[in-house]
Amino acid sequence: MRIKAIELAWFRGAADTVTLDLESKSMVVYGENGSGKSSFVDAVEYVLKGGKIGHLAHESSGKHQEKGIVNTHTPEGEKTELQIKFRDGSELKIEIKRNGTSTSSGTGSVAMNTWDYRRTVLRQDEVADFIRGTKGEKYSALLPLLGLHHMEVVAENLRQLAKSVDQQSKLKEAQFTIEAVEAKRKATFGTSSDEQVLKKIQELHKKYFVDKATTPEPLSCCRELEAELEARLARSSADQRKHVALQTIAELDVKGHVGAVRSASVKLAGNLEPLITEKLEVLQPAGIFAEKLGEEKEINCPACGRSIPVEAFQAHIKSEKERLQEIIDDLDTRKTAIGMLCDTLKTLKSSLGKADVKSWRDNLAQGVLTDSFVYLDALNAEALRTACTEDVLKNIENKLLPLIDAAVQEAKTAPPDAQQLSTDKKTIEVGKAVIGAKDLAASAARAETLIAFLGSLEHGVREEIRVRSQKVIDEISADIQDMWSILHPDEAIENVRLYVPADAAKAIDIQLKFYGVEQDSPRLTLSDGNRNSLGLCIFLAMAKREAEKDRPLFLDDVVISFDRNHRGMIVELLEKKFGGRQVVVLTHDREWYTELRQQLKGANWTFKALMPWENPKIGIRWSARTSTFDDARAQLKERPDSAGNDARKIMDVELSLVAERLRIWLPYLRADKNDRRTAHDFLERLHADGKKFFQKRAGKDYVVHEDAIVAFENADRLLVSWANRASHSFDVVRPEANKLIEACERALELFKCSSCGKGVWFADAEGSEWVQCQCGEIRWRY
Amino acid sequence: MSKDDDWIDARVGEARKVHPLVTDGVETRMKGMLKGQFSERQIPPMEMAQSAQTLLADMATSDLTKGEISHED
Repeated sequence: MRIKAIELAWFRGAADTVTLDLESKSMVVYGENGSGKSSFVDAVEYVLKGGKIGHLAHESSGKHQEKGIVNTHTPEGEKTELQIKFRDGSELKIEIKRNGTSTSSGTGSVAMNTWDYRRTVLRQDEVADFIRGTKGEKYSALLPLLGLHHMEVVAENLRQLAKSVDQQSKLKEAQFTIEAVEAKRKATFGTSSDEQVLKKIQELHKKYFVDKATTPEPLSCCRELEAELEARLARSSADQRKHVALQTIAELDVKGHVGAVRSASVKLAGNLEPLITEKLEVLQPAGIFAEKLGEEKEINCPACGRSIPVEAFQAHIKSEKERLQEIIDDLDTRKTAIGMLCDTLKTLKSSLGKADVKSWRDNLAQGVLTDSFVYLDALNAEALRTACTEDVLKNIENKLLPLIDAAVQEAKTAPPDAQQLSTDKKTIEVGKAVIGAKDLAASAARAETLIAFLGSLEHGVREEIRVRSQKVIDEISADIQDMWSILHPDEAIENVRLYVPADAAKAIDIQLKFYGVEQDSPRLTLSDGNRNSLGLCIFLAMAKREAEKDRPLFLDDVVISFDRNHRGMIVELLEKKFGGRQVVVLTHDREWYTELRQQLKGANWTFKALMPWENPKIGIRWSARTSTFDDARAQLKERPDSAGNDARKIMDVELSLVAERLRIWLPYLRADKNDRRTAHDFLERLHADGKKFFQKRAGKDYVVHEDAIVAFENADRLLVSWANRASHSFDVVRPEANKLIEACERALELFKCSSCGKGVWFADAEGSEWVQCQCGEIRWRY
Repeated sequence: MSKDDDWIDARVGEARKVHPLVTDGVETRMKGMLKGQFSERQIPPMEMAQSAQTLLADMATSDLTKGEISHED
């Protein structure tokens, strides 16, 4: 879908509505730097990127772009708008509020929904950035253009999903619990098999339920036994209950859990400290390092300075990642160990709070263990999860282990019945945990399987991306070579192509043959201009893939670093490869603009020039010139009449603007004669007024700008002579036209300051009747 | 979004062969997710956590006695 027109109002550099009137054709737009030509490209980017403009992101971190999008001097009541009109009559209109929010209307948005920014707009800085980028950055830039971005999204989502499964399944905690149950099982059942453990529980069931003919399934068996033992305990003597409770306390492995936390902390510190020290050393030169990684075979190690192969460095990075993963595992282990300690301390606290052990506790609390009970009562076990220091661990050992020891000693004096009850109770508890752990182990195994499956799937998706990338890249590479040979005929740089490195994920690079020698990177051999030329070929090859969709292509100042010869070749490239497309070329290079006007002929191309941008209130303006003086010169050889006439037309338009700016009042003429004044009318008046009002600085004073007066007089004389040229022969016309062009250009130039480059009307000088250039070198009195 | 989704079926099938303990429910759900929102946008953590829980529930019927293939590719 071709664009018919782009209208801007108070958007970027635009003030009142200004229209890029493409009429669905291709166009070359000339404008000096800062004239506002890129504002039209910004409008297209704004639409394609959903309200973002990339080059504004530097200054505002991607946020608050409205500060750059809305003209800073938008008057109250005026709207910031952009409107894109399409060949089929549809339109897209966007109104942007000062806070950056926008509303859009029109059916034209449907047409642009499927356009890709990178295949629609190409700016000079983006070309340079692409070639300078690393393999990974090239991959990121090209992936959307290859049409594979959605696959990269799939791969990344899969990676995140695997992490999420790991977290949601609480795999680490489950593994820790399984290990703990295994340890208890070994202590209680020795090396007994699962069958033997179950048999032991069944035997206990028969012992406590003599009259029952059947034994339920294992877990129910444990539950029935637990209830029965609790009932028997309730019926037993106070002394027996005290001993069973103390037995439970005696078996709490506080010492073991403290040791586990300490051991995990030591392991963590052992891994963490040297790693952080090394990371700090590596991080400092990381910028230089990363820069070299994409292009060099070897790099200098930032730590020791030795040259090492890139592959070795990459292997090192891999091992570092594994070390970091190990630390994450250590952190998880420590966290779980602390959790187990917390739970044990909570059990200790609740067990010692039971009425069954109150008398025993009261006795000890008045003796040597007073401090221990005070400490236990004040202890917030839950708080340890976030603050479990070595001091806390020492306090637990010093204050609480004596309590456990006391319980162990007292439990030894228990009557046989109580001891048996306690032993059976523990056997049942551990048996129940063993049965439960089997389910937990099965859940953990399922989670591990799922994580491994997702890992395989991500690997498969990345392989799919690699295969597809290579296929598309092979096709594009043929176009790149074709375009390169147009831009660089007879140059010994050939076989330019993109490739997907086999040994690196998420990477794309450029290969070429330089004087018969294969090169892995354009950086190694190509000049700056050639690199940019290569970048242009790559993006044009991408854009060419959408040829059948007839979408426009905007090239914004893409030939800055091209020399004259190669700039000329661009014309051939555009005509050969994009002859059927709508192409909008924007340039600040007047010489190239003139060349393009001469070379891009035919009904499909139009040409427009912008006036220099002066201030935000005036905004972007199209030049009314029919052509530039260079255009006029270009016609001297073949059509000197047209050359002279063009110079006259330029003067007609430009001098009317000058007269308006300098408030030159001309006598009123009847009807439309006012609009038909010629350059001679203006020059006559400027010449007369200039003697009094046009001044240039001479030391501390101002004197009449004699050069300008002479130039005005000369230009006026030649213009009058040109108007009467009918009697001149063809041979005389050419030199006369040439003299006229020179004189006219000179006369207009003198309104601009040779020092600051600004027009004499640029700023108000002292006193309301004076205007001057920026530096005050020249001035005019109204 | 591309409607060329056959590759997803193929890649999920390949991964399933390596991990036969993965259930039909997981395979079916993964295909649906990959053809849908997983290829359209980066999934936020909360949604990702819900998907993870759903998949873990789908794995509940996995027959752990089938055994896994110990190597990939």
